[in-house]
This record gives sequence, structure tokens and C-alpha cells, in this order.
Amino acid sequence: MTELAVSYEQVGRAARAWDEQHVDLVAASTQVADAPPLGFSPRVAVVALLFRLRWAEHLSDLGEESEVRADGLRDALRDYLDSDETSVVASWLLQGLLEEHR
Amino acid sequence: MTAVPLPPFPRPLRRLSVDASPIADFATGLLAASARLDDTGELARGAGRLLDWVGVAAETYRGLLAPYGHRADAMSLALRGVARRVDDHGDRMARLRAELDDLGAANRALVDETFVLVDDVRAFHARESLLGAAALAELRHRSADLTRRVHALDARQDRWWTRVGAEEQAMIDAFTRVLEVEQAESRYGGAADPADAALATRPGPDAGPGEVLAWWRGLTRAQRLALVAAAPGAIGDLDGVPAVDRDAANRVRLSRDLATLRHLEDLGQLTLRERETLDNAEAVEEALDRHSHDVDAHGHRVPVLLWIYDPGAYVQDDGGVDGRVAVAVGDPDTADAVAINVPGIKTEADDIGTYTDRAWELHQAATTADPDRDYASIAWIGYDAPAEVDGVDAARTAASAGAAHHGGALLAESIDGLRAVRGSDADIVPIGHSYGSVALGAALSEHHVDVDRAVAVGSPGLGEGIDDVGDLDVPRGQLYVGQNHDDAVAGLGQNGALGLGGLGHGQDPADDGFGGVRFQANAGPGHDDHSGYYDNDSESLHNLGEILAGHDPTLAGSVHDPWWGPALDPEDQAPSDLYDTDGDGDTDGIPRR
Repeated sequence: MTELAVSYEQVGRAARAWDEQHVDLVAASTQVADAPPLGFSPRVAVVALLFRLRWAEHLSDLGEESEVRADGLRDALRDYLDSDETSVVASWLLQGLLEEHR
Repeated sequence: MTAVPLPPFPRPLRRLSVDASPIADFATGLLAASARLDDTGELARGAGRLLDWVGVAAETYRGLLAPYGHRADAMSLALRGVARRVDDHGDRMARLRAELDDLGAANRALVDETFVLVDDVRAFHARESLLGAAALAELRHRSADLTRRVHALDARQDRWWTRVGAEEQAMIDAFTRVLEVEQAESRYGGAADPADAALATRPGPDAGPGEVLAWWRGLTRAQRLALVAAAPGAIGDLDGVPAVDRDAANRVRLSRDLATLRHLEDLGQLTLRERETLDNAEAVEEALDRHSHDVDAHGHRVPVLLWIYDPGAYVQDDGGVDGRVAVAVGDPDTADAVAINVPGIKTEADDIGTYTDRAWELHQAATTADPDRDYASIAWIGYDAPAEVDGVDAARTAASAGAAHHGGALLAESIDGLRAVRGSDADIVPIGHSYGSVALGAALSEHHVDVDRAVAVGSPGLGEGIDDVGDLDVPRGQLYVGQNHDDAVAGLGQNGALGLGGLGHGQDPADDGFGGVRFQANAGPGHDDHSGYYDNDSESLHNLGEILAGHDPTLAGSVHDPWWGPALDPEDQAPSDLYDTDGDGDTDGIPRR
């Protein structure tokens, strides 16, 4: 495998890592969104509710960016595989990393 | 008629509805989310940068990644800060709520005194000519005193209400200061995470629990709190870290795992390994909750701590996982005596509810035996117990000692960790049931451990080659043995010099040649012969409680196996006595709730 292919394998694995971040951050967003602001006094509960809503969005947005990042890395990988400089072996090895893990 | 000025009534109290428990749950959810953000920031700062990748695309990628990681780190710190403030808010409001109860009691007392004064004034007016000036002066004095105290109470109420308002405002400010991402970045962007410096000084993997404890105690409070949020996996199961801190870290891990795995479940994307990890995590969640509202014989709630949490441990041949978990009933950091209950064959992490019940029952029994001492009782599913199989394979699996040797090493590490934190301030009492007693035997014979007492119940032997209590690292006279005479598993151990041999794990510890202290542990009607040693109100549980409390149990005779005939068990004809192990006033076998 060429040196370039080694680094592209790392690119593929990083794409998967960002896929995992996407899943984790969306899960965290759901967790925050579902956390009932119970136990607070009414005056605080209103603000806790607002905080919960805003941060569920922030986490979800960050997760979406992770997914975009993962897709971007896969696009880069695809461009590399479509280029003439890719060996057959490298293509075969990297092909599996093009699929979205989750 | 002579006038007596009546005092005013104190102002009615305002209501304050707060509950610290759900507030703490809310904080834990935020902490778990902040831990996720920390992972994202770490990926952006570390492996995710792809430094080996070169070219225009790589530079573009890294150019976009830097601000993203910066934002994730700032969001993590901001969310962690709010979570901590929420946790403090719950504690502070709970204290203010308790003060309100005191104010209410004072308010009612003053109202009652005022009514009594009114009655006395009426009585005075009815007989004014007879009672005279001295009685009048006394009433006026009481009225003036009451008036002064009512004003003082009103002022106290005002001050209390001001403090409530200030605390509410402080919490609101903490929420609104970082309501938006831009605010979080402005406030926390580029700030050092106290967890990073703490992690940099963490002892290596070969460090003993004493070294770990010294490191932990050398951290600032801010660093410890940061580690719980940012790196809970680094400390949750680390021997030498105090139990309350392990619990805090492990609850963050649990909350995070539940969120992620339930999300994947909703998406229909769980692998078998993840499915079973989720099952284990949900079993832990339920086990932590099941005694949260119960009280002990003192009428007190007992803390329940998550001491080991690794629900994805021990991957099996089929891709599933057994998991490694431990739940402490009572606080091992402060208890006078700590039991580590080691279960036997077939035990997996998703059984933690059942074993937490047993740990709870033992905690109750010890509290009943000696209410002046504090206890912790740990349900320790801390090793990979042989799996459930059937037929001949089950016997082979049970006979295999490999799992016990590995389990013994892990048990010794747990004991060392407890001893490092507690020094000589607590009795440490491991209790092995069934195959768990084989793991116990391995810990006590293959490792140098410092225990005060040890107990084997329903034991098929403590291991090949362990023929005598002298083979174990336990103080003289402090190896206790409970064996129900009808327990077939306990009957597998070898008795006498010529006994069966081969079926169990060495010499029967209840044998008179072994040298253990046998206590009464017969199962009564309705109790399982092998699994009932922790049953509520049973003589076995009563004696386990006495042993944990440091008392002598009710003794039983040892098994004697003469060379010319079958083994003789003096407990064969002994009744099974009932005891009130949970101090609920009866021996009906129904646990106190």
C-alpha cells in the first residue's frame, strides 16, 4: 500500500469517528431535551425549560456538523479513489470505508 | 375596662415547592451531555486532525475543524459549569426548604401563644376587679414580648425570602449567561480545562491504590469535579478513588450510555453487543433506584453507590457481553464494616438487581444486630463468573477453577482499594457464595489481602489445595462457614481424608478438619437449599449480619467424615430458626420497605 493510501485509510477511519460523534451528540441532544426540569421553583423552572430547549438545539447542530464533516471526508476519499493514482489494492482496501457506519 | 394591647399574628408563610432529587437528576443529564462534548473537542484536537494527510483538501478540512473543536470545548465547559450550578442549587434550595419548616414551626407556636393570650385577656376582663394590677401588668408584659417575637419572626421570614430570591436569581443568571453558543464561546473559549492538568498527573496503570488515593487527594476540588464530568471513565472503576467520587463518575457514564444506546435502539441500529450492554446498563439503573425510598431499622434512607460500572465487559463467544458492575448499599467510605458479596456461577451484570437486594438484606441484618455501627454491603459482580450452560457442561464449567483465579485477583484488587481508602478504620469482610467462595479462596490464598473476617456460604470448597484455614490469608478464627445441610452444591466439597474428591473445589470448609467456624444456616420451609442464604428473617442472614457487625454468630457443629463410614452432619436434624433480621417486628420473611 502506498504512503498516500495509509493516510487515506486514516481519513476513512476519521470519517467513522465523526459518524460516532454525530450519533453521540444527537443522543446527548435527546437526553437534554427529554430531561424534565422538575424540582425547581416555578420561577427557575421556566428558565430551566428554556435552557433545555436551546441546548438540545445546540447539541443537535453540533452533531449535524459532525455528520457533514464525516461526509466531507468520505467525499475526499471518493475523489482519491476516482483518481488515476490509486492502486487496485488500495482501492479494494479503502472501499469499505466509504460507507456510512451508522 | 382596662385595655391590654393584643399582639399581631405573624404573617402567613409563603410556599416553596422544591425537590433536590429531580434537580440532581437534571444536573446529571447535563453533565453527561458535557462529557460528550468533551469527547468531541478531544477528537477535534487530537486524532481527528489527520496530521498525516496533506494537500489542499486536508488544509481546508483542518481550517474548518479548529473553530469547531474550539466551540465544542467551550460548550463542554459551559454546560459542565451550569450542571454544577444546578447541583449546588438543588442542595441550597433543599437547605432553604428545611429552614422554611423551622420557620413554620415557629410561626405556629406564636399563633398558639397568641390565642392563649387572647383567652387569658378575656378571663382577666371577666374577673378584673378580683385579679388586680399585678395580673394586668403580667398580661401586658406577655403581649409586648409576643409582639416583639412576631416582629422578629416576620423579619426572619423576610430575610429568608430574600435569600430564596437571591438563590433563584443566581441560578437563572447561570442559565442565561450561556444560553447561546456565542455566549459560551465568549465566556469559555480558550479556557484551560482543570481536568487536563489532573489527568496529566494521574498515576500509571501499575500504580497501587495508595498511590492513586494520594494523587486524588492532591487534586483541587475543581479538578476532581472536572474529572468526574470530563473523564468519568478514567476514575469510575479506579481502586483508590473514594466511593462517592466513583459513584458520581459512574452515574455520568451510566447516563451517557443510556442516552446513546437508547438512541441507537430507537434507530434500530443496536448490535448484539450493544443490546446486551444496554440491558446491563438498564439493570444497573433499576438496581440503583429500587431501594432509594426504603429505610433501615433506624428509619433512615441508606445511600446506594455505583462502585464499579463496565456494562460492556467480558465479551462472550456469541458476541454478547456479561458486564462488570458493583453496587454498594451504604457508603464504603464511612462505614465501620464493609461486606463484599461475591456471587457464584451464572451471575452476569444484568442480575445486579437481585444481588443488590441481597446486599440490602445483609445491610439490614447487620444494622439490626448492632444499630450503633454503620455498614456498607457491596453487591460485587466484579468477575466473569462461569456462564449458564446445561447438563454435563454445567458441571464441567463449575469445576473449572480458571474463572475463580481471575476473579480472585480482581477481588483482591477491590479489597486493596477499599483498604487504601479506609486504612484500619473499617472492618473488611468478603463473603463468597457458591462458586464465589472459590474466587474468595483464590483471593485469600494467592494474594496478600488485608481482611478482618471472611465468610463462605454454600461453598463447594475454596479451591484445590486449600485444605485448611491456615492456607488462607485471614486472621485466626475469622473464617466463617455457612452450610445448609440440604445444599447439594455445598455437599460437593471433600470431607475427611478419604472423601469423594474431584466433584467440588477441594476440601469442604464445613469439615471439622478444615478449621473454619461453622454457623447455623439451615434453610427453612419455602427457602431454596442453595440460594437462600441471604433470605430475609432466615438464620443464615441473621448470622451473616452478626458476623458483619463483629459479633459471634450462632455456632453449628462441623461435618465429620470417619474413614469407616459416610460423613455425618450434626445439622442434619437441626431446625431452621427464624429471626427478625430487618427489625420490622416480625419474622414473616417479608423485607422491610
